[in-house]
Amino acid sequence: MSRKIVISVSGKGGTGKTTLTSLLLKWIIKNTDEVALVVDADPATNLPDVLGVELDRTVGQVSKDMKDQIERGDLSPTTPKQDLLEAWVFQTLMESDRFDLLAMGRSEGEGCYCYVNNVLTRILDTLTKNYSISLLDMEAGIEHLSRRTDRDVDVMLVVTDPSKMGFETSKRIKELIEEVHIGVKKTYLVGNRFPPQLLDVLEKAADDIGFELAGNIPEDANVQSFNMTGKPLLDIPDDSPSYRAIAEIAKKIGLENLV
Amino acid sequence: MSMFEDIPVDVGIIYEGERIRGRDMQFELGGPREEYKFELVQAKDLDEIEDGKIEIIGKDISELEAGKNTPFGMIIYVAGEEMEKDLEGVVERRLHEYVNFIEGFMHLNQRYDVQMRLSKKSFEKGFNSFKLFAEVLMRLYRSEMSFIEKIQITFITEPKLVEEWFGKAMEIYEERDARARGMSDDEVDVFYGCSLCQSFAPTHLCVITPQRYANCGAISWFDGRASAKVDPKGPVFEIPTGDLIDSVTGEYAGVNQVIKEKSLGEIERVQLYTAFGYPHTSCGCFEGCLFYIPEMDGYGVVHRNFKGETVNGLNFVTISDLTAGGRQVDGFHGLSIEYMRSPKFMQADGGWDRVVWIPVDIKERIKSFMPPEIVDKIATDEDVTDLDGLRAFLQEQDHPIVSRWTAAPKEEPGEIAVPTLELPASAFPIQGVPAGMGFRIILKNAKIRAEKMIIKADKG
Repeated sequence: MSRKIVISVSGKGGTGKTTLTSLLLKWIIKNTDEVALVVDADPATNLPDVLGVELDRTVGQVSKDMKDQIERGDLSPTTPKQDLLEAWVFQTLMESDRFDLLAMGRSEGEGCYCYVNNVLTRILDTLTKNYSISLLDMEAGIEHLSRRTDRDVDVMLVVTDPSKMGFETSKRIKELIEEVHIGVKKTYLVGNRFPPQLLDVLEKAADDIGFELAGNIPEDANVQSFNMTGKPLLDIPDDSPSYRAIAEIAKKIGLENLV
Repeated sequence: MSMFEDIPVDVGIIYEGERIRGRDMQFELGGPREEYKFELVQAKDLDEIEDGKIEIIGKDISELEAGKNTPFGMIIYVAGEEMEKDLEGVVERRLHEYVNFIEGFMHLNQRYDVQMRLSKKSFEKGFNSFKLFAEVLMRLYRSEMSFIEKIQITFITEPKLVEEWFGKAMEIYEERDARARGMSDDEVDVFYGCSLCQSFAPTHLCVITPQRYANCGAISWFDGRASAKVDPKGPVFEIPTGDLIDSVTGEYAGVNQVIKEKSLGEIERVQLYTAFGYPHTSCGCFEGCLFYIPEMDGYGVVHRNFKGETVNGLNFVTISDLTAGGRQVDGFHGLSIEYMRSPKFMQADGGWDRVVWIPVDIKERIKSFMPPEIVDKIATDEDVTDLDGLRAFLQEQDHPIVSRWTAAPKEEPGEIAVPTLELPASAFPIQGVPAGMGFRIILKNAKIRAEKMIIKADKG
């Protein structure tokens, strides 16, 4: 696989972004030889648990460290902060066998993060270029879009559950993408837990919003029991209904052609 | 690059940004798991070094245990007629780029925090000795920094020696930082501008100089230089200082020109070290805010984390709202705490002699940088809570501001909150007021109606 692909997963809170991200990662691990970069951009930082990995620190924490040291005047006056932060962010990267995980965490603390965030964007761009596949689990809602953290995204998957709010958020995301001119190459709607009798509603919603529908992840007892017992979703049986749906989605969004 | 034909791996800018995963590395030099590591450039006299000499003390690349990290030190000696001690840091910073140019070699951080990794792949291709590493670095230095006439490199992996040298290196870094802290705005011909905050303060531009950090406190002149180098057209860019118009107020022709351009004509002049006349504009996310206290004819500074009320009964938000948004407001401006450590701090207005109140939190952070004789004379939130208390405190401590009160007798404090302001004459050019003379405008229960009002800048 020669070209690089960046996939971003967004949608209203609680619609299943983390589930979709985890299952897609499982698909990538099973079907490619690539080491994927997974970015948990949700301040709640649930992804490490769902993937069954332990994380020392988040990017938010090291940014806070930097802010604190700036305030105390602890940093060497001649050391460019961008170089320091680059090293610190790299140190938060959690390596596992088949994927690397970076958690953004919360940008805690008061004061101005303009500069730190600006530098971070560049650092993340550089990091992403090292991976053939990057998978971004975005924070809930639409805030990340106006901050343009999704720039240079090839595929954006917008997840919705069977709720009016899920649709509304998806619609708002569509509008914002157009408003702020983010360079998203292709956007899809993904349904989560739509029962068969509501699939036509999902299709219609996708049409109305103007998204192509990538598929629906059906209700799956395995997902529920894995989440309940805290077992990593990556270990879910291959014949689970949700994972079978992921294979279809991967095909639909062209991931299959890339590997 | 033909220059590196005899090197078993490729060398070039395309490898910058390459990250080596722990699982793919042959070894790690330094890094967070090692206590002792450093990279150091030392300027020497021409006769002190042997050009091209490479020394390896301890294990070479091929002998280092695979998959492990190791203590590491690297000393680069350079000499040349034009080589100066002050250039050591500049030469050292190039290592970050140069090492990253090598295929399969990652360089992160710097100085005593350096972290380098070599990939298994590059090792297997034959990059198996520090000699090759040194060759690449020497060639890059010679081709890009013409003032380097001789270069010699020592690598140390012998743990005891790394530790020994680490101590020496730390002292050298500290000396270098002390020199950098003493660097003055007058020594450079380039400042940096930062327009990151223009998204919410469209007429604001931070001017970053060696002695005036960006208002957010995050961007030093050195950061500006590093950012502008990576992304010259980005939000942090060079400002050639141009002619120095006034060294006391800190006004530069080059700065004025850029400010005018970047604020779309809204702001025409900026004087860096004053709160009156043409103060630096304020973004919205400054670390602290300076505010004029008319009753004292002095200044207070309040920072963002200060939760209480200032001595004149305001809070940070109220004070910062008076100036935020890219405005130029007499007597108020956002600032970084670091700027308070600068000898240029409020230079045009009398510097520390005009500061009468700061939160104890700020005082603790900066007191070693304040003129020692003023430290105890400036009140904090722990000393006083209101203006009467402040006045008594200042008198008791014999704060220099007190002599200003007696020099220019003022009304008893009360509802009149406008004492004599020593405004630069250029701030309010009113005909008939001789240049340099102070004047006073008092408006009481005023209602002003005007068909037209013209305020002109003093072209003189």
